[in-house]
Amino acid sequence: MATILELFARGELEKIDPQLAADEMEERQIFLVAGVADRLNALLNNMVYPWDTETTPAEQLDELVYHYATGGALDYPRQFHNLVHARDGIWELKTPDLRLFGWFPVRDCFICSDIADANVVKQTGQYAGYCEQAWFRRERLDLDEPKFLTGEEPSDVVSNCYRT
Amino acid sequence: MSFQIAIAPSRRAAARFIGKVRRRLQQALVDEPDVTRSDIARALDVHRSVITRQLSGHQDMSLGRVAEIAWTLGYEPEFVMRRRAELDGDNKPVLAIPAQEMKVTSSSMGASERPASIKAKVPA
Repeated sequence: MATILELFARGELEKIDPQLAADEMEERQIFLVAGVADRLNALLNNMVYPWDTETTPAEQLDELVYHYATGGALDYPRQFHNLVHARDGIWELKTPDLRLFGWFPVRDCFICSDIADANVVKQTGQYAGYCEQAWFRRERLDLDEPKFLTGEEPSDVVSNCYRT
Repeated sequence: MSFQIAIAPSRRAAARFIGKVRRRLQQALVDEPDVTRSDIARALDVHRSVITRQLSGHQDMSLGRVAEIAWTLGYEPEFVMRRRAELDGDNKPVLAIPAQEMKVTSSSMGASERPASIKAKVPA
């Protein structure tokens, strides 16, 4: 069994660099399970996104990572939910075109096990499958117990998530 | 190993700016519990779904629409530009030339009011 830093040192986790300015502090972190980065690059290069917005899925992801890392609000009452609990400690971070599935081993630290095209996930009803896969990858990861935080409210896993 | 999202720095700046504006409008809407998206849609004579898509990022917003939504929520938007050097941390070497600040509001800005750095670039 290993800590997050040991898994990072062993190459089993990659950390997303939020590319902050010198006066910005990283308040939250996102790690990728090994292999997710390659799948993400492939997805972003081949993705057809229907919303035809000014920002591409890669730019939306950068904005979400930036907002998350700098401690921005991730949930508002009744609307605009960027962070949603799926089940069994599996969480979903959302942009208009992407879904990030994973879990929080400690507060403010998200381990992402999959990134998917939101439109494909919605059209084909793959939510359960991605959650199952995240659960399976969490089980396989050689991470110290407890491997994930329980709780179904965003405030259970992220600090200051209700306010910017 | 760290993973970096491969986008151009200028597009990174654009995406983060768009996100900040959109998220600020979302927060303003939440801060006004008596105003709904339907109220905004009625005031702007568009369908409610348009406002929903624009606030959630599924549809682009013009600068005019940003101002319209802000106005409907009781706000006046303001646009501030700062030299990037001003944002650097304490470890950044001190610049020989002080960085300029440019602030643009909805009121018109006469040539005599413009900072020196802008006067040189804007024709009279």
